[in-house]
Amino acid sequence: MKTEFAVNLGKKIFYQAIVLVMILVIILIASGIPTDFNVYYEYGQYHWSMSLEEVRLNIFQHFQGFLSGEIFDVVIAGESIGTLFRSAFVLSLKVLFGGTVLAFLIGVPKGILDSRKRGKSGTFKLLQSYIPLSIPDVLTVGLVQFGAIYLYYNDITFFGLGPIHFLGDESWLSTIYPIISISILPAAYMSRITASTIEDLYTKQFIITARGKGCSFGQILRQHMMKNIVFEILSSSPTIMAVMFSSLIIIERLFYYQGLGYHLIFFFSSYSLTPEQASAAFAVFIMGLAFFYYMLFMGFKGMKTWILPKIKES
Amino acid sequence: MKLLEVKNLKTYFFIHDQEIPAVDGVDLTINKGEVVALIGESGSGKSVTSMSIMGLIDSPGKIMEGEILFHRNELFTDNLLKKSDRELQGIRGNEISMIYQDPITSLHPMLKVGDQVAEVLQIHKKMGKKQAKREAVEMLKRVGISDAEQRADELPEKFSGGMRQRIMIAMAMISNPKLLIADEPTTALDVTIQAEILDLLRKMGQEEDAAILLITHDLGVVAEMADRVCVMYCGKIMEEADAKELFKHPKNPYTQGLMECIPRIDDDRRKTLQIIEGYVPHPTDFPKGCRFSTRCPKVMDRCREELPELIEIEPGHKVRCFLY
Amino acid sequence: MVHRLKRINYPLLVGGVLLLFVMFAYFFPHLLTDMDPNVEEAAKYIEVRRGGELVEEYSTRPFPPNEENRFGSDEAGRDLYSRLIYGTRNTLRVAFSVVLFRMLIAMPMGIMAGMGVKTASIVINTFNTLFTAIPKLLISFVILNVAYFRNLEMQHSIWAFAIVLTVVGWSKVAALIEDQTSRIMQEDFIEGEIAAGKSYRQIGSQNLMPHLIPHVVSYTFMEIGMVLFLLAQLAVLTVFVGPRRIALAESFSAGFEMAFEPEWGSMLARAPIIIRSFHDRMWLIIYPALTFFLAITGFNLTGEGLRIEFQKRSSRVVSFIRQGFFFFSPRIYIEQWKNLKTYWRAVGVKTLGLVAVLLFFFFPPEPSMVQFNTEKAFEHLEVLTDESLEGRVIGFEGGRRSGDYIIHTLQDYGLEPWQGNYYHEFPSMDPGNTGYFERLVVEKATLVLEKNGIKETFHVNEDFFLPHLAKSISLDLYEGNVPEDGYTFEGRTITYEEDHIEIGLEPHIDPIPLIKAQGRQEVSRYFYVQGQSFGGSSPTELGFPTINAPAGVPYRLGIIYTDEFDDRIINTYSHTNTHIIPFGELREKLENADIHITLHLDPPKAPDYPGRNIMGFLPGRNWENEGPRDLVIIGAPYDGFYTGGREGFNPALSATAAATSLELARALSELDEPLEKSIMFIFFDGEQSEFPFRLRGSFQYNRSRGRFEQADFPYTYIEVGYTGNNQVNRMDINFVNGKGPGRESYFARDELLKRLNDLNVDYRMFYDNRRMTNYSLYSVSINSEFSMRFGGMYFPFMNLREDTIDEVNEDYMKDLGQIILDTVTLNPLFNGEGM
Repeated sequence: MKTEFAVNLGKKIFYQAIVLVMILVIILIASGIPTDFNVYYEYGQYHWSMSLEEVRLNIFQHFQGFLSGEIFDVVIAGESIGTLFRSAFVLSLKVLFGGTVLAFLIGVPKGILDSRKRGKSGTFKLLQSYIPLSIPDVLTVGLVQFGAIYLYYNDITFFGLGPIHFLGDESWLSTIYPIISISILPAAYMSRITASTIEDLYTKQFIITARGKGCSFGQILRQHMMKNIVFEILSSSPTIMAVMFSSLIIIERLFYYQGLGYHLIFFFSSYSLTPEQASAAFAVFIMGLAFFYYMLFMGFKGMKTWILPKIKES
Repeated sequence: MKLLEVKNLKTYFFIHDQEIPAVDGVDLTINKGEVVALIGESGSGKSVTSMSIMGLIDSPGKIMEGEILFHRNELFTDNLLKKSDRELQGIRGNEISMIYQDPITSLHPMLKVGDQVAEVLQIHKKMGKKQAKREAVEMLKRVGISDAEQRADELPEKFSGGMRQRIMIAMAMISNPKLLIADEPTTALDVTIQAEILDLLRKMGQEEDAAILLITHDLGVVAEMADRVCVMYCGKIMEEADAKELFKHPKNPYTQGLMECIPRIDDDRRKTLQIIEGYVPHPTDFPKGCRFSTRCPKVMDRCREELPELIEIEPGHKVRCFLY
Repeated sequence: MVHRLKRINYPLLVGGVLLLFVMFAYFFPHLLTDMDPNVEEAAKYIEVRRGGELVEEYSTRPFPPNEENRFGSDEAGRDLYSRLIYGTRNTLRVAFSVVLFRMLIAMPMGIMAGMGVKTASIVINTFNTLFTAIPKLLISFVILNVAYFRNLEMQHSIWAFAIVLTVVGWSKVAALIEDQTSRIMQEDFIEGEIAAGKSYRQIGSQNLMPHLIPHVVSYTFMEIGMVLFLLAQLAVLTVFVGPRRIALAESFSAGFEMAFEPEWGSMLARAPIIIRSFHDRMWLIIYPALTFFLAITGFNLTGEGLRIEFQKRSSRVVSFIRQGFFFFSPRIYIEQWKNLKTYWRAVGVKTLGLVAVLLFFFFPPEPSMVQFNTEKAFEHLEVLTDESLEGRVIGFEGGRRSGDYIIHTLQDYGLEPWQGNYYHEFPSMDPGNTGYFERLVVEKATLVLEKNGIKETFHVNEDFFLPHLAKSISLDLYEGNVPEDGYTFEGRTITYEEDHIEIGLEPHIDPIPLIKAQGRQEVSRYFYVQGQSFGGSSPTELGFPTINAPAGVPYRLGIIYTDEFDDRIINTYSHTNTHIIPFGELREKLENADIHITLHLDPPKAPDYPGRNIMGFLPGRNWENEGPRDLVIIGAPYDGFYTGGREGFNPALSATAAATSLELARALSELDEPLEKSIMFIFFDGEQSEFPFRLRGSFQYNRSRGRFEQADFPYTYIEVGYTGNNQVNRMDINFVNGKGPGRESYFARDELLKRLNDLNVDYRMFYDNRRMTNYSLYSVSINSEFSMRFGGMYFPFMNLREDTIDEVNEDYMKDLGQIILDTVTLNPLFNGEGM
C-alpha cells in the first residue's frame, strides 16, 4: 500500500515537474526574442527588422547564457542581475505577503458580516460584494494616493510613524500603501468566498444540528465552518494569486516600488539598456517569477490535498 | 404536568410572491415524561412544527402568531416565541433537544464524534474539554457504541446509519433535556435498525425522565411508542387522542382513511390495497373550508364552505370535523 | 411593500442603469457633448471656482476642471470629458471583440468538454495551467508591446488585441462552460432523454442549449467586465489600441507616444508619470479610471444580476428573454412563412425589420460628384516625363519649361491667377549662403585606376555616382573661378585585407581603415542622399568614413563604399565634401591594395533660372462674401531629378504628383456649380532639394507669400503626394492637426475614413508630424485648420531604371485622385456645409 502510494505520488511530482520545465522553456524562448524585433512599415511596404536566423541565434545564446549561469552576472547599472533579482524579489515578497495577510484579515470578517445579514435585504448586499471586484487597480491606487498625499502634505503621522512618502521603496514604511492597494481585490474575493461558503453551509443539516445543540453563531463559525472556509479560500488561491500578481505589476509601477513587477516592465520599455541586457534581465526575472508562482501554486494544491487527510489522521 | 403547550402556532413561508401556511393554527400539549406522536403525510407541516418549537425557522419562513409555553418547572414558564435567539440558544440542546431524520448528514463530516457530543456539555455545562470528553464517552457507551473509548476519536464516516443515529441520541440526551424532539428518526434506517433505535429512545426517555415529541408518518412507529397521538393534515391538527383510543376509534375521516391504508397481515390477500382518493392539495391551493374536503368520503356541503374547529368530543379526544 | 423592496434584483437594476448610460455614450456621443475630442488647446483663459466664486485665470495645458472643460483636459489640451464620451465606442469595441472571439472558441470547446470529449477537456486544462503560471497581463503586454502592434490602424489594432487576448484568456470561460455543461448533463432529465434514444447532438441542441444559454449570457457580461479590467491594466503599461504619434519636446512634454483617437485606455497610459505630480493633476487619472470603473461595474453587476434572475424559477426577465429568442428564431420565421395566412402580421413585421437591417449594412455609398479621369492624368504624365525636359530640375531649362506647361494647362482649364499672378519666383541659390548653388550638373567625370602599369578608365553614372560636390566648388562657380579643365583628385589604396581597406589620398598621409560592418553593429557613418539614408538599416553593408584631408586642403574627396545602392539616378548636390559612390566592376577593382586613383571632373553647371511656384485659383461661392473666406489649398511638387547624364532612364514617379494635381484642377473646374469654399492650386518647385529646405518651394511659399494668406484666410491644406509603383498596394495618408485653437478635425477625419471605406481603398494613416511628414506638409500645415497628404512622400522605387510610366500604379493614382475629389466635394467640413 505504501509503495503504491509512493509510486503514485512520484508520478504526480514527475508530471508537475515536466509541466514546470515546459513552461520555463516556453518563457525562455519568448524572452529570447530580441526586444527590438518587429515589423515596420515604410513607404508602402512592410519590412522585418531582422531575419529569423538572427532571432534563432539570439534565442540560442539566451539558452546558453541561462544554463551556464552567466546570465546572472550580466551587469545593469552597476549591479549584477542576480543581486538585482534578489533585492527585487524580497521587495515584492513583502508586498505580496502583507497583501495576502491584510486581505485575509479584512476579507474573512467582512464575509462573515455579509453572510449574517443575508436574506434580510435581498440582493442589496450583493452589490456591496461585487463593487470592489470591479475597481481597476488604477483607481485603487489613485484613491490610495489621494489619501496618501493628503496625509503627507498635512504631516499627519500614525503612532509616530510617517509622514510616509507616497512613492518609492526606501524603508519598510513604503510597503504600507502598496500593501493596502493590493489587498483590496483579494479581500473582496475572500469575502465573497467566505460569505457564500457560510451561506451554503448554513442550510446543511449538520449545521442545523449544531444550532439545535444550542451553538451560537460564533461557535458554529469557529468549530463547524472555519475549516471549510479556509479550504474554499485555498481552492481559489490560484485565481486570487493570479489577480494579485497582475495587480502587483501595476501597483509597483504606479508606486515606483522597485520589485519584480516594476523591473519586468522597466526592462521591456527602458531606453537606458542595450537589447541584450534587457532581454537577459527580463528572462531572469520572468523565469524567477514563473518559478516562484508555480511553486506557490503547487504548494497550495498540495496543501489542499494534504489538509484533508491530516484532519482524518490526527 | 404540562411541559410544553403549543397554542395556535402559525408558521408561514413566503416563496415567489406566495404565502404558504405550512403550520396553520396548531395546538399541541406535551406532558412531562410522555411520548407524543405527531403523524401526517409529507408536507403536512409536522417538521415545521418541530422546527418552530426549536426556533430554527429561517427565512423565507416566519412564525406569524401563537404561543409556545415551556413550563420548565412549577415556578417558571416561558413563551419561547418571545425569546431572543440568544436565549433560545441556552435552551436548545439543553432543555429541549432534537434529533433529525437523516443521520448521515446530521453529523459534521470533519469533526470527531466524541468532540461533537462533548460540545454540548462545553456549551451548556461549561465543562472543560477533558471532562466533557469523558462524559461523552460514557454517553456513547450508554447508547450502545462498543469500544466507545477508541471510537469516540473517529469521524462519522466510520459509522453506519444506525450507529450515527445513536450518536445523535447521545448528543441530544447528554444534557438531560426535558423534551426530546425526534423528527422522523427512523425513516432513513433499515427496518431492523428501526426497532433498535426506537427501543433506545424509549429507554433514554424513561431513564432521563424526558418527554418525547415523536414526529413520524409511520403508524407502526406510533403504535410502538406513543402515549398520545396528534394527526396533522395540511398544517392543521385533525385529531388528537390517546394512542390506544385513536387506533380503536379513529373519529376523523382522515384518520380513518390512514388506518385503513395499513395492510394487515391477516387481511384477505385478494383484497386490493386501500388508498385515500385524491392528492394532497398544494399549500397555495388549499380548499376553502375543511382542508380534507376534496378527498373526504364523508364530505358534506358545509365542509366545503366552513372550516371546522378542533373540539374535544370526549375527555382527551379532540376532533376537527363537522360530523361531530 | 418591504417584500417588494426585497425582491428587486439590485445588481441587475444598478448594472442595467449603468449600462444604459454607457451604451448611450456609445451610440450617441454627439448628444452628450459638443466639443471636439481632438482639438488641442495650448493655453487659454479658464473660469475656475476658487473659494466658491467663479474666477478667470490664465492656464496652460493640462487644464484643470473648469467651466468649459468639465473634467479638465489632458496633457495635450484636449477636453477630457468629450474624449471619454467619444472613446466609449473604441474601448467597448475592443472589449466586445475580445469577448466575441473568446466565446466563439470557448463555447464549442466547453460544451464538448462538458459532454465528455476528453481532448477538449485536456486542451482547456492545459491552457489554464499555462496561463496561471504566467500572468496573462504579462504575456499580453509582451506581445502587444511589439512595435508592429503599436503602429496599427484602429480597426486592425482592435483585431490584434482581440486575437491576442483571446488566445490568452479563452480557457477560463471555457472551463466555466464545461463545468456548467457537465452539471446540466448530470441532471436526471438528461438520463431520461438518453434512455429515450436521443443522440448527443439532439440533446445538445434541444435540451442543453436552453439551459446553458442563460448562463452563457451571464458569463458574457462578466467577461466583458473582466476584459475591460485587463484593458485598464494594459493601458497603465502603455499598451492600448489605436494609432499614436510622438509628442515632441516642442509640443508640451518630451518624447512620448500620444494617442490620436479618443479611447479610455490611452488616457491612462501616462498614469505612472502623472502620478509623480499627482496632487497637481489628479483629474488626469481619476476621471478615466472612474469611467473604467463604472463600465466594469455595469457589466459585472448586469452579469451577476442575470445569473440571479436565471436562478429564479419564475422570472419576468427570463420569460422576456425567452420570448425574444422565440421572436428572433430563424426557424420560427420560416415556419411562419409557411403558414402565411395565419401569421402574416408577424411575418410582415419581421421582414420589414430584416430589410431595414440589410439596408443599413449594405447601403450603397454616396456616388462621387465628379470622377477622376486617370487617362487624362497620364496624358500630363507623358508630357512631364518627356526626355527633352531632362527630369525637370529646378532652375534648369527642363524645369522652366515644365513650369510653363503647368501654367498653360491651368489657364486652359480656366483657373484664375492668385492675387494677380500665376507664379512666384524665388532664387535657386541659397539666399542665406552666398554662392551656394544647391543643385549642380556635372556632365562628364572620369576615374582612372592604375596598377602595375595598367590603366583603366571609368565614367560617371556608368561606373560610379557623384552625389556630392564640395561647397567650395559651388563658390568657385558663383565667383567665376572654376578652372577651365575642371577639378582633379588623386589618391591610392594602401592595403587591403579581408575586413578593411586603407585608402590614402595624396597629399594626405595617414590612412584611415575601412571597417566592414557585420550584422547591425559597427556602422561608422550614415549617408543621406536624395531622400534616402543608408549605412545603417540593412544587415550587411559597409560603412566608410570619409577621408579627411588635413586642414588647408580645399578640396576633399570621399569614397562611399556600400552594398546598398541600386542602379538609379543620382543627382549632384553641394555638400561639405565631394563624394563618389563606386559600383559594379569599379568597386570590385577598388578592393585591392596599391592602386593609384585619379578622379577628374568637368566644370559643373549651375542653374540658369530662379525657382518657381505656380498657382491657380478656383473661386467658390464664398469668394464674394464679406468677412473671412475659407480656402482649400491643394499643393503638389513638380520638379524632379536630372536625367541628362544617363541613357535609358525616364523616371515617372516624381512627376505623378503634378500630373494628378492637374487632373484635379480640370475636374474641379468643370463642376456645374462652384463649391462653397474656394480652392487654390499650388505647384511647388524645388521639393527635391536635399538638406536645406530653404531651397524648397514650399518653404519659400510659407515664408514669404503664404504668410499673408494664412493670416487672411482660414484654410485647409491637402497635399498631393506621389503615386506608388505597381508593387505598392497601400496608400499612405498623413493627417496633421493645425496648431491653432479650436480646430475641429475629428469629424472631418471620421468622414474621411468612412469615404475611404466606401471606396475600398487600402490605406495606412499616419498622424505624427515628424516621421512620415515631408517638409511641405509640415510647413504649410502649421497655420491650417488641419492638413492631409494623400500618397507617398518617397518611394525606394523612385529614380530606378525600372521607374517608368508603365510601372506607375494606375489604381493607386485613381484612388488618390478620387479620394481628394470626394473629400473636397462631399466631406461636409470641406464643401462648406459644415456638420
